Amino acid sequence: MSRSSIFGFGSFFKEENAFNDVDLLIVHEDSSAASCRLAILCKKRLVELMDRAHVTMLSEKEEQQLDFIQKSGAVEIGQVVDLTAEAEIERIVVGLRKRVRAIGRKANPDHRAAIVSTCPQVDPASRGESEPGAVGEGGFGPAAVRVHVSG
Amino acid sequence: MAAYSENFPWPNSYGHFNFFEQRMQAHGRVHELALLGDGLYQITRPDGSVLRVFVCECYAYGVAQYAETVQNLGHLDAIIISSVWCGYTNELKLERRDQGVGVFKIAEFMGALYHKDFWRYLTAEQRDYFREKGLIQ
Repeated sequence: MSRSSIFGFGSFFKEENAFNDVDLLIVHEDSSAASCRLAILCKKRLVELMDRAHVTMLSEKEEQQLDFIQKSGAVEIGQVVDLTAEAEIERIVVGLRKRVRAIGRKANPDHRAAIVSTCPQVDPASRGESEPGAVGEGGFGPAAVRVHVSG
Repeated sequence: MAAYSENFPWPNSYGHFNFFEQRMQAHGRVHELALLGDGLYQITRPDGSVLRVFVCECYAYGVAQYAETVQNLGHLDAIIISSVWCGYTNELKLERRDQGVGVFKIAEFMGALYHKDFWRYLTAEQRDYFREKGLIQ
C-alpha cells in the first residue's frame, strides 16, 4: 500500500489576512511507479478541487536531500493512502477551504474579493456562520496538524 | 516563490522562457530552436540530431514530477529548470542520467550541449560531490 504525506507552506499557511497561492508539498515514499502514481493522483485532485493550488512532489529521499520541509517551514496537513485517497484528499481540501474562509474574514475588502475568488462557495460575507475556534480557524483539526520539527 | 502557472506544466506567465531562448539562440551547438508549446522546445543540433526539451519553473523537480511530465508530453531528452532559485533532485538526475535523459539548470545545459552524450554531463562540483557520496564512479 502506497502512502503520501501532504504539507502546506508559504503565505497561505503563515499570513493571517492575505495569500497569493496555496503552496502544497506531497511527500511520497519512494521513486517506484506505484508511489509516483499516488503522488500524481493526489496532485491532480488537489489542483482540481482547490483553486490557486501549486503542488510540489518529492519522494522521502528527495525531500531529505533538499531539506524542503525545514527550509520552507512546511506543516503537515494530512496523509493519503492509495485505497482511500479520494476521501482523504477531500477532507484535506475541506480544511483548506475553512482556512480560506478564516483568512477572508480578517482581510480588508479589497483582499477579500481576491480571496473569495479562490473558493467562492465559502464566501465569508454571504454566510452567517459563527467564528471557528482557534484550531478550526486554521482549517485543520488538531490530529491533522503536526508542525514538522527537524532533528 | 517561482512564477509558474496554476496548471501543468508551469510555463511562465508569458508562455516563453526568454532567458533560455536567448541562451539557446546564441549557443554555438544549437542550429535551430523551436517552441512547441507548454514549455516544450525542439532543439536541432549542428549534426542534425533533434532534442525534445522540457523547460519549467518549479520549486523542486523530482521523480514524480518527471513521471507526470512524461505522462503528459511523451518522450523527453532533457529537463531544464529555468529559475535560479528552483532546482531538481539528485535522485532524479542520476536515475535519468543512466537512462539517457539529461536533467539540468540552464547554465549546466549550456555546457552539456558541447558533448555528444550531453545527458551524462556533470559540472566539476557535481562530479566531486557524487563521487564523494559514492553515487558515481
